[in-house]
Amino acid sequence: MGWDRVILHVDMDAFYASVEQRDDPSLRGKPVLVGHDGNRGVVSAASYEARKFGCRSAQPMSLARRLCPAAVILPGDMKKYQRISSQIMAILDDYSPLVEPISIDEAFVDLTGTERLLGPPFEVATRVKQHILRELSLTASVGLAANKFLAKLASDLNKPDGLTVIAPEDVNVILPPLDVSKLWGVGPKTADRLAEVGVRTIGDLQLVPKNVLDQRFGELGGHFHRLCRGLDTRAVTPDQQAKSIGHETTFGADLDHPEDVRAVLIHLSENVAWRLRRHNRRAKTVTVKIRYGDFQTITRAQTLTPPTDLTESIWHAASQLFNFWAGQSFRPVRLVGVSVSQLTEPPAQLCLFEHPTERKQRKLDTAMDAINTKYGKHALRRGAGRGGA
Amino acid sequence: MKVICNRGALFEALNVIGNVVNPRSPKEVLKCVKLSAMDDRLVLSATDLEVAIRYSDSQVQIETPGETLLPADKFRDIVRESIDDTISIEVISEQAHLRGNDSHFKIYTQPASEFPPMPEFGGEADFQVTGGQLKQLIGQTLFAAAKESTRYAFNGVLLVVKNKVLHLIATDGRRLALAKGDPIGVKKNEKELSQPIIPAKALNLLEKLLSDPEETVGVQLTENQIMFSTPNATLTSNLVEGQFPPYDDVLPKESDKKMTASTADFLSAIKRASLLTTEESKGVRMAFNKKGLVLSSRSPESGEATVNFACKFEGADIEIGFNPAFLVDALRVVDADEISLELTAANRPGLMKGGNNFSYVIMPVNLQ
Repeated sequence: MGWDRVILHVDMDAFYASVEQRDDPSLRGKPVLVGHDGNRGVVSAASYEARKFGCRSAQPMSLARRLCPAAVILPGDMKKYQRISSQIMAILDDYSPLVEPISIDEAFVDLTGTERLLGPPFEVATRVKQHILRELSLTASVGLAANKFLAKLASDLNKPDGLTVIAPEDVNVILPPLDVSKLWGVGPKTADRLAEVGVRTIGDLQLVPKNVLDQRFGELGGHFHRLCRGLDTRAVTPDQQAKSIGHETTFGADLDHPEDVRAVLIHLSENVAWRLRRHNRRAKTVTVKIRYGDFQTITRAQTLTPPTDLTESIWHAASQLFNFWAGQSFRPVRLVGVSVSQLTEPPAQLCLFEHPTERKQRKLDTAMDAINTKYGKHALRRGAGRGGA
Repeated sequence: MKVICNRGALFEALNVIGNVVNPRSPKEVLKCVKLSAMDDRLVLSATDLEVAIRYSDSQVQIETPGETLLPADKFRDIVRESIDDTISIEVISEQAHLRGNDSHFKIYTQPASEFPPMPEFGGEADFQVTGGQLKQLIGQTLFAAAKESTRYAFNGVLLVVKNKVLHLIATDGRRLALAKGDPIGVKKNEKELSQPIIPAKALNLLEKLLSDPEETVGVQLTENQIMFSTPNATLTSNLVEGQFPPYDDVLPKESDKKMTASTADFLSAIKRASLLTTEESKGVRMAFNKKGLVLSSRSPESGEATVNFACKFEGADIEIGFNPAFLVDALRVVDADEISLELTAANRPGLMKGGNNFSYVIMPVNLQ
């Protein structure tokens, strides 16, 4: 078994609780529980400070409160977590077109074959962690291995803020002593049934012949037989149904000048177009989102024919939408966003006469993508000062 | 104005020119046909300000000369449903009376003076061509023009006279059709002739207008208009503005792979191979080798199709994908029993030829 694939698993540390501590400095260093604080409330997330007292997610809130009476209990803000989650996924998107989110705070990233472009996987994993920390001030634990199961296992071995590699040659050292409940698909019930036959560790399970597992667990038997040997062929499947790609920026202070907003808009358009091209998609609709200081939010959309993945076309549309709005009713802006939707595959039919301007723009995009992939996302950008479309 | 018309001839005239009229025009006069009764004929005119047709109906008896505007749709309906051999049209104080044996229609007219002036061309034709020849060239190219491209030049057909040969060329950016014919006489020095792009709508109408293969059609050009004149009709059209793409550059000059086959058999093979394709299917896969051609297609919903087609093929084996509809379009209009298809690579255009006068360049589809 070698490194035939390189899979990264990214798991945010105590996600909801960490977000709350990030946004309210007074909570830092204190035990925080996120969840409904009622008789039947359940803990959704516990900060690491609260975990020292034995608090866990999925625990009844009443129990958690008894374990740690000093804990600050917060109801949580799903909208906020969702938004940060998409920011995390957008960051991961920069490292591979194959990103599979598995929950709000967890994702697999397939780094196979990116070494030449991005560098050694271990360094990429380090960069991903730094990137998330720099942009979102949150920590993640990541695991690097040759398949999904081992990568997820790795990220769990060293939390919080960990970076764990399970190399193929380490599998036979790391797996055997671990509890069977670490296996994907083994919950408390299955663990009990395995314990009945004396299987408590993954090493124990490795000794059980396949036909016995098949007999006892049916189809799952074969699955356990492979997993306990560290074998897992599941592919990282990005959400093919991705309906839109978007980027947005919130400003520290509201921007008073349309030109300042336009300067940001052009970078957002570049990012969106870049991700479109990485996903090999074309977009039919461009939407610009603007939020005022009072949180009132408006969106303006424009349809593109034919669908495009060219930076210039997306920027042109976004810029037109923005100019039209700014010309009529500019107000200081708190947040601006660009997104594309109605995504389609690029046409299979080749062109006899590509549009001369389009051909030039495509050449430019291809060249810029190559440079930005090699030297980092912000190595080369369009000038913000230009008048633009 | 009073005129008695042969119903059949009048209906034919209305069928030809009625198609110019835009029934949704915001201007009432543009929904009308202009009737001008003069000497021994009734001239019917219609325009959408882009294309204008004037048609002379001589199977009439003029009682009183005059002019009027009649709503095209109602006029055509009445003439179509009429059971009479002749219809009389009489205009009395802004009302037209259409009378048959047992019927009398009174319709409100519009003042003839409000009808936009029809373009006038002085002098004689720049060149002439037979109706049959022109109709064939239109049929062999017009289908390849784009329907509503933002690149306006693609929505028309380019006309070129070069080395005393008349060329019509059309493309939608993915395939290109070129048909050649012989003009009867080129009056002007052909270098002085512009290379107009004629809107698809004008050629569609012209095709319907050309009923007699033997008749002579005069073609005359100005800077931004073209006129086609037959013995009893003239069609004038504005030209499409824009730059036609460099068609000569995309005509493959050399190829090292060539198939030759019967036109009818090849058409049948492609039609059968594409029966299971859908909008999403990328195209028909064509694998050429010494033994012939294997056509196959697949659609996720319906299934797979394979057709083994025996044909002559010279050159190295090649697999290439094409949109079957594009091939069928061309095979339907090619005027030759045998066609050739020349190829170079799976991502390079193919060149289909039928006889010496029809060339068709087609870009492949990416099969991956």
